[in-house]
Amino acid sequence: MRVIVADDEVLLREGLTRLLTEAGFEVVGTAGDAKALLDLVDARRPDLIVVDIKMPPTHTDEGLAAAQQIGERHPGIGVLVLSHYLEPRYAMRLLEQHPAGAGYLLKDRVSDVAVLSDALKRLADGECVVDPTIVSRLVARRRSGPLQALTDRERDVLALMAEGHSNEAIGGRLFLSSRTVETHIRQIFLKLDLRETAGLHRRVVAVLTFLRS
Amino acid sequence: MRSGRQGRTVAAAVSVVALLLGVASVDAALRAPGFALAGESVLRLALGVIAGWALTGAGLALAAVLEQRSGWLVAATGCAWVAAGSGTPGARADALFTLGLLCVAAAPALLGYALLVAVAEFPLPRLDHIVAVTLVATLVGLVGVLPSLAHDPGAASCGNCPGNLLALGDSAPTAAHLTRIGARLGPVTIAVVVAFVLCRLARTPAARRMRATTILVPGCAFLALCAVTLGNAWSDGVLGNDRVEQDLWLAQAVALLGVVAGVGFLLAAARRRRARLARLVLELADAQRDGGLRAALAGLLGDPELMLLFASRADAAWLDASGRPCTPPPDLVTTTLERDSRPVALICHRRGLLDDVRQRAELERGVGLALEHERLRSELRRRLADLQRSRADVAAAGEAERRMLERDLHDGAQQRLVAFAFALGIARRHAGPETGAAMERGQLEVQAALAELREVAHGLYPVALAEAGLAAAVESLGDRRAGLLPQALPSERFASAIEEATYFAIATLADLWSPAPVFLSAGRDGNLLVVDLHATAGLPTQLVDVEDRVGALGGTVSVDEPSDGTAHVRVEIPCG
Repeated sequence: MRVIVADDEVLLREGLTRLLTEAGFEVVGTAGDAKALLDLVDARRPDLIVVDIKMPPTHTDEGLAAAQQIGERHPGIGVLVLSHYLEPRYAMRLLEQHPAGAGYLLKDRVSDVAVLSDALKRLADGECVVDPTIVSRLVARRRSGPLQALTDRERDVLALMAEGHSNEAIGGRLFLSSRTVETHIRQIFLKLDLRETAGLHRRVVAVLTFLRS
Repeated sequence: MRSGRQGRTVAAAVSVVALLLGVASVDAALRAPGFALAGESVLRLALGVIAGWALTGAGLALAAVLEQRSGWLVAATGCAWVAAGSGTPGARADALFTLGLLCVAAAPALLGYALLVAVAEFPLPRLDHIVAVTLVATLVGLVGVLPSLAHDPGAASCGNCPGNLLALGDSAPTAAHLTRIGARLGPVTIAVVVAFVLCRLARTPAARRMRATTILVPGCAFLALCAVTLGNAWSDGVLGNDRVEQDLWLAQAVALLGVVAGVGFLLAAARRRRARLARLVLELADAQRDGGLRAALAGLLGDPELMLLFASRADAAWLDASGRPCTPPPDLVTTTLERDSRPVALICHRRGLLDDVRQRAELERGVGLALEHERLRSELRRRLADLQRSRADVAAAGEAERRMLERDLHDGAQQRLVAFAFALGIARRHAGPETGAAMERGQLEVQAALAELREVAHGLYPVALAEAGLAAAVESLGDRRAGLLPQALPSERFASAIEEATYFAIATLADLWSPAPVFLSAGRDGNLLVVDLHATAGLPTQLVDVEDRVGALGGTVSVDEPSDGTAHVRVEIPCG
């Protein structure tokens, strides 16, 4: 798969490029800021981009803004936003503006080549990936709203969905059969009032509800 | 200005002179009633002399009590008035007779001068000065001195008259001629003086006009009567004592008594004012409330617009009651009040209100202590405000420093550690199983180090605070500090200093109370940002840091620790 990397730190840009190459991805371009990234994406049409959340000039949320623009121009391109910050609101914003094929991970998490390639493959499949630390923090929050209706087990399933795991992987982690996982997921969709909607991935909407709560 | 003692000596001397001249004129009138302006009437005579004496006394009082320079001229008018009575054949001594001849028209000259001084500033403006000198030259020179030089009535027509000591020649027609010229010019100069006085009066500030009028009206009436008398003498060249002149003289005496009454009114008003001032001093001693002094002074001086500013000892600035430096409004007149010859307060008022030196001195004496008190309070408030500002500056500087540290950590150590983790990740792919396992452990260590660094950076300055506001930052804090339970958080954004101080207060308290559950609600209440923190544990320490940060923004921290082991802290910060 063809990937573009954007990070203003040369050291990290190069590190990421090597990691990606190691994982079997083809890095078709690198950029140091959002503008260069957008130009590159227009020119090379990659399958995926990996972008730092904070880039020049303001070092606040340039990566998120770029992800949004890419989502609008090229909806098929998966976006992985890397960050130093454990901020659920960043992840939420990313998934809201880029509902399918978006992920938010802590930078150090992708130093594990297996994690990196797994996340990117999910994004390419149109799923979403949220850093497990953020997910576990959100689970710990005592929430009001629709999530209150979920059982603890259903909440665990939803959290793993948010991290981007497939039904099989969720079953494996929770020692459940695929059928049971599917039942839980149907229950979650029912309780969150998510009917079959065209276009929007129900899994993503469920994760969004989870992040937003 | 005359010193008090010297003034008293002069006043005593003038009184004695007036008394003696009065006695002499009564004596002269009684000895030669046919020549007296009072005629045969003892009553008229008494009235005339009393008017002279009273005018002298009133003038002296005006000078002494109200420190008005015109007072001396009024006293001199009184003396001249009684002296003129000796200018008849009834005078016992040549000197008295001569003085009487000189003073025959001196009273209106001196009173005209006095009125000009009373209505204008002293020294007189050039034009007023010329008018006053012309008046004196006409009435004393042409009607008094020059005829006396030209003619000795005792040596000529008036056989039993005393001698005129000044007489150089003896030409009755010349004297009559001079007197006629004086009598013609006199009314003109008097008219000019009266016109001047009225003109100045119209331009006098309203506050002073009322006071001046009490003297000016009878004074001008006197001058008018004198003008008529002179006009009457124009035909024969002699200031005689026919029936008309006797009546005019009586009217003049009454007008002079009117001036005396005017002076009396002024003295009474000053006395009333002083009594009010004394009452004010007592009231101020009773109740010291904010702006009370200004309101009291405004009432006392009858100027509702009056402004009161206080002198700052630190610099030359004027401060208002709340300690804010301000400049006096340009459309108001300012009067500086002093205490121990240092400026204490500045009264900004309408024109003419405090021109009276005496009144200013009374004010300084009467409310000096209260003014000094308010001045100190005002200065204290200013220092407090300065202190508050510098506290806020210190807090802001500290916050900026923490922000920079967070940024440095992010751009420096964190990036390098991540780069290192990446390098390890790549190397691990090419390592054998044993080295690979060691590298994996290394990778986990780096991740743990990064996680700790992330917490340190967050503790320094939570990125959510600047980017998303208080609610997001507190949520994020709640993720890290188990048991911090936000019940309500404001969705609106506040000024960064307010958000930072509020976050600091919440984070510090959550830390102090750790690990006890803390229920938190924050929100706007009017123009206050109110944060309530309830914990199921007592406060282990004082909240000096929090009070400092919140206090720097003019906010308050109140602690309530009921005996059941819980605690409630309320933080209130003004947020506009």
